Amino acid sequence: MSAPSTATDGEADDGPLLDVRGLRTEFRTESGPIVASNEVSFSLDRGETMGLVGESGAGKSVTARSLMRLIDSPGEITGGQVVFNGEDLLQKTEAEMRDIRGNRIAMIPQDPMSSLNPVMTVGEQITETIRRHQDVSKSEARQLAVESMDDVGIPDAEERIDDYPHEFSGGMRQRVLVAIGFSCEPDLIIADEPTTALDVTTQAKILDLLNEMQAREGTAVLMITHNLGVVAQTCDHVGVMYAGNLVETAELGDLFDRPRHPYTRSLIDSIPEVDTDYDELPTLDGAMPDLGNLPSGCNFAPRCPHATEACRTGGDPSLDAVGDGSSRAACLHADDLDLSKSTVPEAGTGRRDIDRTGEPLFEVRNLKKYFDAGEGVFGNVHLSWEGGGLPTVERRHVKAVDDVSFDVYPGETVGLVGESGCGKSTVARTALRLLEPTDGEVYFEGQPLHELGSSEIRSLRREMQMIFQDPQSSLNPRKTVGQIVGRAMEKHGIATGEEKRERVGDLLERVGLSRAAAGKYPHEFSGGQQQRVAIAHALAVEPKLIVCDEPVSALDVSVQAQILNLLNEIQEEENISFLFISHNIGVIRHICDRVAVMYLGKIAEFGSIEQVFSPPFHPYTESLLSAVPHANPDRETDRILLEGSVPSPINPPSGCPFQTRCPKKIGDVCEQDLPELEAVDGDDHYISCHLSEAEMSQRDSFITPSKRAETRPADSD
Amino acid sequence: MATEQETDRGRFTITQSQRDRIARFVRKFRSNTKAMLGFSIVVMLVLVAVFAPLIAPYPIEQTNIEDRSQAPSVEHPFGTDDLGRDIFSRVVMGSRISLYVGFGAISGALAVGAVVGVVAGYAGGLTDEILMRVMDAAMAFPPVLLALTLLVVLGPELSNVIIALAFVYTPYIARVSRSAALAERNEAYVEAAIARGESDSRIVFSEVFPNCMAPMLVQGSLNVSFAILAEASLSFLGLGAQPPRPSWGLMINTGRGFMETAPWMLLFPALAIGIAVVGFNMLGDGLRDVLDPKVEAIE
Amino acid sequence: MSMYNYVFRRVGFMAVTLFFVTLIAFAVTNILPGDVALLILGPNATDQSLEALQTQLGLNRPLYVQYIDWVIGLLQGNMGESLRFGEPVARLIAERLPRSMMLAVAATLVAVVLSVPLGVYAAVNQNEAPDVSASMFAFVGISMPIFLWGLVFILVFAVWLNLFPTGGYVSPSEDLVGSLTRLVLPAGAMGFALTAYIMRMTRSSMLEVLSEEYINLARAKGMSQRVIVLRHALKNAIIPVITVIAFQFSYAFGGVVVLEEVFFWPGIGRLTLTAIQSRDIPLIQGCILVVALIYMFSNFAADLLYAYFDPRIRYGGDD
Repeated sequence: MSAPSTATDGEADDGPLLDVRGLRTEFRTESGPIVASNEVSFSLDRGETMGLVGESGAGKSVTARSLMRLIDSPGEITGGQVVFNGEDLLQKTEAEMRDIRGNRIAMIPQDPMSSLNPVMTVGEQITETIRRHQDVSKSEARQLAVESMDDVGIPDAEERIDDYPHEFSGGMRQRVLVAIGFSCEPDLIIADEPTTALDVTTQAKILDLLNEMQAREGTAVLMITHNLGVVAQTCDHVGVMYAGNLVETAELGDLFDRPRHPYTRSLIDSIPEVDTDYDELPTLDGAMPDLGNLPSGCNFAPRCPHATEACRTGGDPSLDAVGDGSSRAACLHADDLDLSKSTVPEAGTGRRDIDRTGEPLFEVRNLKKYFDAGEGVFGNVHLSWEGGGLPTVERRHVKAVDDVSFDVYPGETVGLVGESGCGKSTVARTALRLLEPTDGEVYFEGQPLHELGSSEIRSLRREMQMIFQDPQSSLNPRKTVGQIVGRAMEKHGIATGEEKRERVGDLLERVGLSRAAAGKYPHEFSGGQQQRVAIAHALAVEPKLIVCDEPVSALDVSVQAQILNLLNEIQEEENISFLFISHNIGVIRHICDRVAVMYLGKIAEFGSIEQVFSPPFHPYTESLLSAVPHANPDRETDRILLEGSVPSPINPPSGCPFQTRCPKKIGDVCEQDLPELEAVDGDDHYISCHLSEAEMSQRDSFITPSKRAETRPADSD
Repeated sequence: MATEQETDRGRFTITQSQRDRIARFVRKFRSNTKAMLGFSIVVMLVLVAVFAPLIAPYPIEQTNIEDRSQAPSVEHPFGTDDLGRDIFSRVVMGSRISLYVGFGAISGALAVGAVVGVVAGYAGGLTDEILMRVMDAAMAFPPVLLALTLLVVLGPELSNVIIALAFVYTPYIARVSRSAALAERNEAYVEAAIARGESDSRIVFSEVFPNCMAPMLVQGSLNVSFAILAEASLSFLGLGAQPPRPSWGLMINTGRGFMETAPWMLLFPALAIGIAVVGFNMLGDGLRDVLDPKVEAIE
Repeated sequence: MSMYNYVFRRVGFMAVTLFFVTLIAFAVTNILPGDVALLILGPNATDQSLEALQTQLGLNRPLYVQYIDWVIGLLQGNMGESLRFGEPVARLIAERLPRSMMLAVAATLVAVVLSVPLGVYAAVNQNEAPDVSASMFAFVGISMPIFLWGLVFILVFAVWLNLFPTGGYVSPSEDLVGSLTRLVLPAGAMGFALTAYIMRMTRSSMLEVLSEEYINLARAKGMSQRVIVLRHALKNAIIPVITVIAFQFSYAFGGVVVLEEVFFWPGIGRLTLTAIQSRDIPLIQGCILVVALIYMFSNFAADLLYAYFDPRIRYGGDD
């Protein structure tokens, strides 16, 4: 099914819906043309879902946009054919293409925030598509729009059709985009990273929606993503892209059972899975080459553990059928290699034991941080018209952090996990007093941080450092790496002059960069390398605690693994504690000893990884963990999907913050009483919920600790 | 991946990377026609102003009643005015006035505006609000009007024109540097500096300020052209440079009366103003293009 | 409800700025080197006459008292008496106000009608011939001193082509046609000058909007270029342009002193100039205050229009 067909024009009904042959898209740059899509060939049948996977810069988005001929200067489609329904789209006029776009081929874009026109109502944006391609009256179109909003699960569609995009939540907006996509009943939908910008739980709902819509309408879907978990949950067959080339295509099961290209193997292996337990993530050195700087020979050869001399010379290998012909791989050795075994080492000893007998290094008690709900000096002043008559002036706050307590011991990693808006980032910043706490206490080695004066805090800063999510933004673009790392040393009087330069060089090597990096500017490095610089900068002052705020979220999967391994290494050697913030469950699972699950500014559950990932569960934890799409097509998920969306932190619900969406809500008590964080099943494991322990333990653990990360049997469960 | 070569000049080390960076900027600048054109014009103006006494063939005050109001000729390439003075010489010498005012006023505005803006942008809160309200209030008065009023009290002298214009244009620079500082303040490296324990003043001057210089330079360059125009207007109204100084604006004012009989009295100073202003505008625009790259993301 | 909050906040800010405006208007004429009385009477005045004038004008009271007095007077509509004309400043200004208003409105209309379509056209055809020429034109436009435009217009249309009178003003109630013909040149010249700024802003705003994601999606839906520009882009692009238009309008009101001078248009600008030339302090204060007020109110109007065009402000979400 995935080999390009040799059908000629006119056999539209029998042949595949989409047949891409040798597509080539180039971009003109100052340094010559770069090829973003290099002789890509694949095909897609009616009703099928194909995933196009790759890291950023691999060329998948460009390929997708080329299919719809949405490539503008300085880009150009320079070769190949895109045969859709028997006709070559590359031969059509622009006017003909306009009739096809939105109509026979539709797109669901990535970012729900910026893809909707803020000054047009949601309804207008749906109806205009309908009226563009179908001959219907205004009221008919409106009716159709309401129906399509219903289909995608937007409640109260009849009223909300006249609302503006900013009045919807992110998940709802994405549903609108799905509605727009399906509105004219296209034959093919191109979904460009449709869930990347969404939270895990919302992502789960949107993926289900897509599956449902597709099943109902019989639409073929081309799903572009970098997330193998998403692929495993939605696709029939998959294509893997690397540095502009399509390097493998296979049926879904085959891809995971026995990948044919070494890159696919390493991609699958570098994803930290929720249910596997291992010391070190297998990684490849280096990163995907820049499209302007491709190696001669196979693009992957420099990083490939199986590369031979023949691979390094001689140009890109062609995508040929392997084995029984259902898979194709662009590898000279595809026929000989057996990549069915994961390269992940056998289950390790798990994480080291942490000595928690002494005093905690870092302790947070009843921390609160409220922000003004608005900008400017009068930011939190609002007029409200409750109760009729004259408006009253009230002060509104965003309760970002609302009574949070936890501790961190020397040498351990405590995670803060939750979805966007839960307050995890704010907790970290407030605890470090980068923001002033509204209330609560913070102790570092027994010293009350919340009471110290500003100069005392400054000298204490040496002990607590931070690594940020966006590595580019965290390095001053006008300073060299050496200046950035060295400044930290200077500031705290650790070293100056020649000794400082020595140490800077040492540190850079320690984090995996060369000494020469000291003379370069941040923009000369890739994202992963920049993050290494940030780590070096944090280490320069020899801190005891490092707060990591989503340090790998902006990085590609393979680079992510490298950074996580580095952090683990450093922790082993220097016995540094980490406060690790992330929304990625797999990463948390891999790197943390204990974890706190946050929801709407409060901690829902806190305990060791074992404890939190096993029953008893806080209902939110349960649904959060179940929503993660596993990169394992054989696993059926028993996802718990939550209704509605996260309430606004300006107006949190009464009682338990989760009660508006909790699938296990008992009743009034949940609405009236705020549950306290209480110990369950012995000690050290805290949950804030009114349910009994038995009620919280109704499903199995998410971890099977005895499981070894080996071949996944073809049929299991 | 160039190898690092450090040349130690005492405390200053210039690495290869820094050299590369400067080279890149120069290359980009060169390839931008607007910037190059503007730059050339400005350089030419500066040279003319500096060497004006050598270029001008006639002393500007030399009146020669017999030769008055003559059309352009070989001896007088721009013609003569109603008092027989050579217009070419006066235009050339006039460049000194325009540039003197332009650079002087804007340097003043930059000095004050940059500090006010960056402090306001970084500090935020009440400081920012108050400072910005004051700046807003100052901008509510049209520049020429405000300058005129100031000149009433200060006295219509050229040096007072500079002071008045510096005062008038400070808020514009402050606005720009404030928004630059605001944008930088949100960058993670500022948080990293705080987390490192740096004091506020160190962060503002060492980390934030250098990153704000680009937009300030752009705005400054554009403001020089405003200042030149303003000076021309002020002189035109008789409150700027006083006769017999060869201010371009003043020359236009005089020329106005002879618009039909001797249009060259008007034409050349007007052209001079136009060229100067176009030059600085181009430079400013070009600088903005060069310093603000739009990243072309491919994926 | 969010709209009211928005307006409420804007009014609050305006009040603070207003305070500073009055402060500046007062300070500029009073807290600067030079004795005010000396300024008025000249260096040859006798001490006696100086003192007399000072007492008359209340100049020997502490400054803050003078300021408060003045502000109180303002609130009652009293801006003092003009030294040169001997009439209440408020009345003098009120006379001129409608004339400047006429000119400003006409000029702004001309500018908007010309510049917005031009700006859109230039943005849509970026870097091609129409854009390059339009941009060049705009560039030249902002590089010329405004009074030059006036002189050029007079030269071309009044002197050479003899189509319109060279200046002066006639009230529309007296002679509508004559009034309008006299309006054409100054409004045209000023409009032309304003066009350059507004066009540039429209163009750059349009370019920015055209690079937004939702424009990409509109294209992916098969919308034609025309629909994209007019329906999707324009409404978004116009928002920042409103501020510029408001700014240019208020500039046309009192900022173009020179233009009024060139066309002998008896508006506020010329009044201010006369006041300045005669060192008529109360009149100067009154004039610049009024001009600043016009600026602030047109900005406020722009803010309100903003809210009308941008639904995010009208129905603010908490998201």
